[in-house]
Amino acid sequence: MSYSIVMKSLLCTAIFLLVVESAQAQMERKRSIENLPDPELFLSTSLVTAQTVSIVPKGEIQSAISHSFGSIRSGWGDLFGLDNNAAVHLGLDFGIAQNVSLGIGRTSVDDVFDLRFKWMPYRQNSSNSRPLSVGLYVNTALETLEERRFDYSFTERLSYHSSLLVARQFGRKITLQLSPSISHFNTLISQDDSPLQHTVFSTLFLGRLQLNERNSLSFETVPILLDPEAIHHWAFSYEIETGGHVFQLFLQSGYLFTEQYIIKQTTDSFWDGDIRLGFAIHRVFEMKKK
Amino acid sequence: MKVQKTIKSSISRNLSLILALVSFPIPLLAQSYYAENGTANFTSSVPLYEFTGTSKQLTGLINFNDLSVDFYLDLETLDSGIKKRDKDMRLTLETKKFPFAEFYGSLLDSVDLTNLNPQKIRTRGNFSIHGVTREIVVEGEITVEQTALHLTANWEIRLDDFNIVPPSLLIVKVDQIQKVSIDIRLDKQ
Repeated sequence: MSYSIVMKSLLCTAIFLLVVESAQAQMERKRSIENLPDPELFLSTSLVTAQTVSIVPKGEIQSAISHSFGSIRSGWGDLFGLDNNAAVHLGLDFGIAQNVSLGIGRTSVDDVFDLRFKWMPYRQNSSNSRPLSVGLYVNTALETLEERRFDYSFTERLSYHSSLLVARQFGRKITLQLSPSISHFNTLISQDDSPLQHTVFSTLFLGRLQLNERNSLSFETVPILLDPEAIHHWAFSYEIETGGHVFQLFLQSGYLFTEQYIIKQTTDSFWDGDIRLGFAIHRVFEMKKK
Repeated sequence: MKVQKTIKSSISRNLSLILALVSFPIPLLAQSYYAENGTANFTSSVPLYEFTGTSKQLTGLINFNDLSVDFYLDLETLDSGIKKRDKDMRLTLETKKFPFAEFYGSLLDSVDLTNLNPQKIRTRGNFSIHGVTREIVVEGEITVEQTALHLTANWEIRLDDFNIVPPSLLIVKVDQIQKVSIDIRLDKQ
């Protein structure tokens, strides 16, 4: 008797629960994406001049406009360099395949066109099974400025730059990147009899401090190896990301926007007060609208 | 000994039945339709330009036993075609804190499950996004198929109704009105 009553009670309870659950049939919410997204080491594909380990995703195009003004040493007369010799770089980068981008750009100073290629086969992930991002960057620049003193051939106008890009994000806030590099100019002009160094070894050093999800502070510098007298380029940038754009406001010593030119032709020292204000805007588009 | 064995096996059988009933309550009694691969679109506008975040992981359940309608979407699955914009959408919607957009309500109109022509339906319920819930009425169209229901619906939300502050691009701002549309084929359970 007791067994029968117990079973009946349990069945009634089960049916009651069934009805209640059916009447309150709101589903349990389950996440579709369980894993954390991979860390974003830098907000943009380049800081002021130096390329970062970030790359334009496949199927996207990035346009970038970079602008630097004159030295702030000029004071109020030239509005701290804003009236002076601006250098402008226009660039387009295409995400042509997974982790591969191809770009073209032009710098207004010396009318330099650059063609660049980036390959990022190994990228730091959130699970830390890949603790570093490692990739390769190469560019070729063509100086098209008419030179009255010499008649240059096409190859004499070329210069090259290659970097191994190695970066890691520490925690979620700090990213550091080292880029051992080699740069080469086919042609250099000497104003005196000093020997010319056509090939330069350097290590670009980049860093980013993430202030919050949309704002960062970054720096880049280029210690030049084997040349103790070389003046090293420095730049500090404040970056804002919003609505698919990255805005950069920066202070820098060099004023050109191609790595080999920054390495070879920086003559101003940031720490002696030869600082220029500049800005850049990066915008990403879809190559083919969905 | 034999009697005890019989009683034990009977207890065990009945308990199994009860457990089974409690574990699978919905499909057994209710005529319900379910899917977790529906499409949801969130379309935003800025002057002269419109973009859409799309997800193909909309989960939905229509239960004709109690006329309930239950849909939800993991907002981190929205894809606008540009990774930076996706990140921006996630930040704007604060998806770490509020991962789901969801609607839970009731059918206001009856659906004739023997009629294979498209039928207009209305549902009233609570739409939640960004941690804010508001009651809305959504109009849609339902088409009965052999073992499924095909549902489409469109509605609009005002971002400020849900405390969503869209990012501005210098002086250009994203429109407050966001269009939401869903398209889902729910299989009979």
